[in-house]
Amino acid sequence: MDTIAFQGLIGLSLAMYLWLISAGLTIIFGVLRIVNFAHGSLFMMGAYLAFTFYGQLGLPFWLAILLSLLGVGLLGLVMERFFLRRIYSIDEAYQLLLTFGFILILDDAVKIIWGGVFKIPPIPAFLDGAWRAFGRPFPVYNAFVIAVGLLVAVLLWALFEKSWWGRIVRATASDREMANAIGVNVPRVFSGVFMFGSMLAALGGAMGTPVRVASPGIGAAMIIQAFIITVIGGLGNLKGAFVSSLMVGILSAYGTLFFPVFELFFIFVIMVVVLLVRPQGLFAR
Amino acid sequence: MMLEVRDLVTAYGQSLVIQGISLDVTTGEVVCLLGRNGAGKTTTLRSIMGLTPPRAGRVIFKGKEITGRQPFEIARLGVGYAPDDRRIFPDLTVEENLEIVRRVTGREGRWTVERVYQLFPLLPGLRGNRGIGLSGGEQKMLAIGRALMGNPTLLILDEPSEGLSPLMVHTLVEAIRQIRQEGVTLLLADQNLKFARRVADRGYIIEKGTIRYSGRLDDLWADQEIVRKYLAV
Ligand SMILES: Nc1ncnc2c1ncn2[C@@H]1O[C@H](COP(=O)(O)OP(=O)(O)O)[C@@H](O)[C@H]1O
Ligand SMILES: [Mg+2]
Repeated sequence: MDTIAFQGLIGLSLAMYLWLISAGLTIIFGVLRIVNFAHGSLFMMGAYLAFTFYGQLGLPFWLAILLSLLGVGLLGLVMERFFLRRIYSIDEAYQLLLTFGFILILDDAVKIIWGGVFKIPPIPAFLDGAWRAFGRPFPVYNAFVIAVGLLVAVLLWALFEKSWWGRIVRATASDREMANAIGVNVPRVFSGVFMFGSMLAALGGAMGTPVRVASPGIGAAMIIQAFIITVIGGLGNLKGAFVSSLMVGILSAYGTLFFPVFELFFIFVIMVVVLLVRPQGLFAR
Repeated sequence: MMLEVRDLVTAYGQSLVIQGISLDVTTGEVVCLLGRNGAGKTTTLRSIMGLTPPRAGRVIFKGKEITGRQPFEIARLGVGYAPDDRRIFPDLTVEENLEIVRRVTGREGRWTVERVYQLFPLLPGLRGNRGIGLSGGEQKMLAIGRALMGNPTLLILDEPSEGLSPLMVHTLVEAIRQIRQEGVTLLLADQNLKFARRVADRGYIIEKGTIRYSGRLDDLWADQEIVRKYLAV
């Protein structure tokens, strides 16, 4: 019984990690209608910047995370403002090419700046150690990831449902032409949303580093998981991404318990099953 | 002069849909574009609003050239637009659909949510409902109210009477008269000459992207030959 409960907790922390990496991708697709394949690379940049600010420069943990978000947000802003903006109106294949180009560029940039070997910053003292949960040690850091994931969910809900920025973004997502006609500066909303989504990617990366190493190429691994989560949830649907993260995280945790060899396999199995039943995802918009 | 359109040419891909249209709207007037389905009324309005930028010609709003400007800039200058297909934001409530315009244009003035509710008495009872659940007529009223929320000096309404019940047409006629009394200039497009005559002073008949007639609607009403040629189905 304890094993089942404990594994649920492990699943929940995996779920919140998946949620953090897929939320920004979902928001960007929901509004701009582009799949940003470089989302994983922004995640990677968040991880490396956090490593530098926290692990190398020794800044306080929270400040390091904040600076990583700002740095990656700025990078996202440049990507949108000077590159992506030029291709919204042309064939979607160019989005794939351009964002894939960014994956290659950022992977190389990381190798040049930080070298090819992986980096692991220390876990901050207050998040180190483990609590006992259901008779087993549960890492405090995993509890921290769960807390941040839930907090982000609540904040995003409030932002989109209760703030005017959120309502303007939702109006633009549902009908960008009409939004433009009532006075919404749509290009600026796009920049803002892309920057915001980039910062969410960076948050996942910065939070993930102490437990998952930062190395060139983690972006590619991460984008696959994030993309699958958003496809299961329904492309562009934030609630869908949250539910899908929970489902995949928890089912994978139990799956691993019974079939340990298939660990990485579960996310694909869940995707195939969901898409066979609901090709549009759990919550299509 | 509120609006001057000069030699407007607009195309969708290869097909020239508007082939050199010129028209004027004087401050305080209500002007209606008439013409059969597919004549080019919607495209003309969209070109003025910047939604379908023209290939050639000029659009001058209050003496200022706005050709090729982004729609949001034109809206912020004081042009309100209610499209024929309404385009209510589906997951915002009725009240949010109105309030958002005040927020994004920053144009405060006479038109407030409460004034719009007075104009369309069926809206206040729906204020918390999402746009997606409204009937066609309710959406039509809301689209006009939404366009007013930017306190426009020029209000553009595309097919305002289309699909409305006689009772709703009556509400609409009253609303347009009140809007006009508040000093808003109106440019409409409608296929229904009977309706147009109740609200507009002057009209232009468009056919195949060119203007075939321009004049007072009362005179047009009396000229059965033109009506039969360009308007009757
Ligand atoms: N998005 C579009 N793409 C291509 N052709 C269009 C488009 N919209 C309208 N048209 C064509 O342009 C012409 C004028 O249409 P429109 O301006 O909607 O006329 P009206 O509003 O008078 O009914 C029609 O022949 C129509 O088929
Ligand atoms: Mg039309």
